[in-house]
Amino acid sequence: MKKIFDGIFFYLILATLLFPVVNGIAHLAEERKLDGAVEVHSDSTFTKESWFAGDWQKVEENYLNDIFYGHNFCLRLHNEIDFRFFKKGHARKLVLGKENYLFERDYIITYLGKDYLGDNIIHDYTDKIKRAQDYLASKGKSLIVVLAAGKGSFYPEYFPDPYSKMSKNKSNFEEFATSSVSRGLNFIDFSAYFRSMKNTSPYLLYPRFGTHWSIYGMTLVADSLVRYIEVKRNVHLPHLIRTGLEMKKACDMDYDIGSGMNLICHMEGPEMAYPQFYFESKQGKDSVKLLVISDSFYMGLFYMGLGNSFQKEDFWYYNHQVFPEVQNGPKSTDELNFKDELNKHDVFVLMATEHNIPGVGWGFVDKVLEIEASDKINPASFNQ
Amino acid sequence: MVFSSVVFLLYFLPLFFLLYFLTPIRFRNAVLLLSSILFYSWGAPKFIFVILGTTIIDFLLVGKMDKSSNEKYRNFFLITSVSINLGLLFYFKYLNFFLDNLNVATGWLGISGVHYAKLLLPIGISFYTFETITYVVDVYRKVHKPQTNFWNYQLYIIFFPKLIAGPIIRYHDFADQISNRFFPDTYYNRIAGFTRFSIGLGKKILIANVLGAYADKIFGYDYSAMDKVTAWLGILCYTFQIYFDFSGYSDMALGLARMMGFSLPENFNSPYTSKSITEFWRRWHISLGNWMKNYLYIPLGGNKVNSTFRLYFNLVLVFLASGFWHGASWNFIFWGCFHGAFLVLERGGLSKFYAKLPNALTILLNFVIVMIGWVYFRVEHFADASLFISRMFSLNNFTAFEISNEKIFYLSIAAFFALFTTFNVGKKLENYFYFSTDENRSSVPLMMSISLALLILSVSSIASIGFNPFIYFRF
Repeated sequence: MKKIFDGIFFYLILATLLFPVVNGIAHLAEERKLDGAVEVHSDSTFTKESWFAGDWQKVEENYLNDIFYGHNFCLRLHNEIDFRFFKKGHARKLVLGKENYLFERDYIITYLGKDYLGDNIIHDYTDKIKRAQDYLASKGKSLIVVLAAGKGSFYPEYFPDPYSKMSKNKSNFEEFATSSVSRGLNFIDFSAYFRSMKNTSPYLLYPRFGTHWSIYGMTLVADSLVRYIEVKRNVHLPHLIRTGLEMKKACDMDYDIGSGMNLICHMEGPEMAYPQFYFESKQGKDSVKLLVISDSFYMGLFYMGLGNSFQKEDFWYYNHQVFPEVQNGPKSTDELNFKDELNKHDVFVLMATEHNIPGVGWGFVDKVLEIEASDKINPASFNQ
Repeated sequence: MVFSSVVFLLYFLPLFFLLYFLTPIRFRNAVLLLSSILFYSWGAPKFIFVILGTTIIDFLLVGKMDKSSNEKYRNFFLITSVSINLGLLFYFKYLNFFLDNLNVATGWLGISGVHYAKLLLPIGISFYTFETITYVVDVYRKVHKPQTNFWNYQLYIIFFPKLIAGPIIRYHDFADQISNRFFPDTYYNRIAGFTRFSIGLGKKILIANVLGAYADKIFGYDYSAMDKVTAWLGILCYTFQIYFDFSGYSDMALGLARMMGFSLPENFNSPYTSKSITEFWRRWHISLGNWMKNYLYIPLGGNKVNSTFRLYFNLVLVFLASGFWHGASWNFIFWGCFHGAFLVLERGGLSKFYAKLPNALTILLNFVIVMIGWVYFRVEHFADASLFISRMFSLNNFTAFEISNEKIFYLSIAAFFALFTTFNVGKKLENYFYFSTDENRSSVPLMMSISLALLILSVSSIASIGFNPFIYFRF
């Protein structure tokens, strides 16, 4: 009898070892996919030459290492153990803060002022933006600069060592904000706004496990941005109307760093607020055409439907990738006629978070100034 | 192909065992031989022909030698075979080293050096060269009859569990097992073998690799600015890394062999519990120590020499050769001499001093000596190694190196498993998992659970190498 059980146990081991090969052929089971931008090695074609050079074997080893059945579970298990026992996370630029507050390193470095560019560079750039703003205003268009709140300035008390022990210097975004205000830019400082509401907001404005502002915080941003444009343009736009609110575990953008850590279990944290809302009808409202040039902080606003407040909404991600056309295939701003695009829109929003703000626009401002320069030579070039 | 890779663990190994165990017993050696050739070819597709070629020559020479009754011819065949094997080893492993040194020497004399292309080292050449030598010498000494079947001899040389990193098997320990396995083919032995394999895998992946990463980091620092805490931590990590790496690989080899019914010689026996360097070499890389003793030390006269000087000379020479066997570099030679010197000192009276000390203190003292030796093994240049050692004994107590809970955990685990056989309970556990042949024990479910747990944890760790995704997956 014991031998029978021994046999069963042995074949169980063998079956466990064989399953990845069998599944690779028969596709019996699907694995939970990994989150994050995961790079998978590619397969290669067998040739006699590649075999004897040993190249094929190297490529296959890397490839099989990435695609075997159980890979994703194994990886999540490894990450889970490292996180639970040793407080380690595996994602690029991830910093695991106190009480499991997750940061991207850039946000911390920027808050501490360790990447400070210097007053001159920031002042020069805000001067340029002011010129672009004035030029566009002369054409009846509005340029608005938006500083998105960053997690580094919102939760510095959760920085881990050694960051918590580092001295804080003047940061790019602080100087940028000061310079923008003094130069009279159309400037919305959500970084300062969020910090001012940090202790009074009924719901979390920044998630523990996400890198962007919370979805609740985002609805406040949407509302504020629309109202700011209304004032600037003296128009009435459809507003975001909140109808309710659901409290639940952090998900979607509120858990984006958490997802990127690829753990087995969801991390425990405070419940997040998920507003239910709709946008008012456009009937009887003014029509404004909006172009946003932003980093990932506008992505959430784009997908939540902020475009419903405008007659037309376009979004150029890092001034390069064009939305919403990207849904039908990527389209670059290089394929567009810049001057035509300026003509097509009424309001231009340049949005960036704290560590991106010194380069906000990513070339947009320079292009506007080029148009301005050519306009001086040929005043008819810009069609109003 | 290395054991600690996905391609071996989840592709080669299960398919091999499926085929092997489904094959009738009389054809299993053929499956094993072909699989071993594939195993070696995967990592060294060109060098497989070097092994196949030399084994044919050795097989023919040894066959001629065995048939000859003329002592001159026998000596001729012996010398020819040994010369071919050592010549190959010299060519692939040591030629670059000798030419490098020759060029340095001629550079001093103002003579232009020898230009040459760097040679690649065929994996496992140090191991299989020594095994081919045991074959020819064992047959020469009439310890065992030669193989009449070439493929059986080929199997002895290329048997994949021990091909890359040993243990070094003497021909007479293996020959009879080719046709008549040591362990009966029972499910118990297969599971016991797999358990040992998994434990070895765990030692390599879960302990050695982790500590190795810490050691690499520390040994990558500027030694001149290093504090003593960091230096000791670095060498401690390396000391455990090299033990768990090498002994883990040996465990994997012994476990795989047992699954197929082969018994391979033990290669490690808790070496860090040794009370002297002499004892250390009876516990560390045992198969190399035995080879050196049987095929070098004894032919040199061993202990049975007329003068103490000659005895000491033999000892140092054997350890110099041991050091040189590990790698073609001066640091390995120095490391071998370092150990040889301690053996001489122990013979000269140090052992008597040790005997007066408490056991725990002698173990600790010996452990520190071994650690210092490992510095020369780890650091390629003598001056750098000496600088590192000087930092170990510097007065700088401040450490910038972060000693995290993780490091403490892994070092504690390593220390526990490296030393636990000094206690009875540890010895019993080792016997239970490694050496028991009592098939009536009801330990199989436990062994299976441990094996699978270690396997999954190890594969998890292997799968995670290089995994570092961008968080911005949506965008």
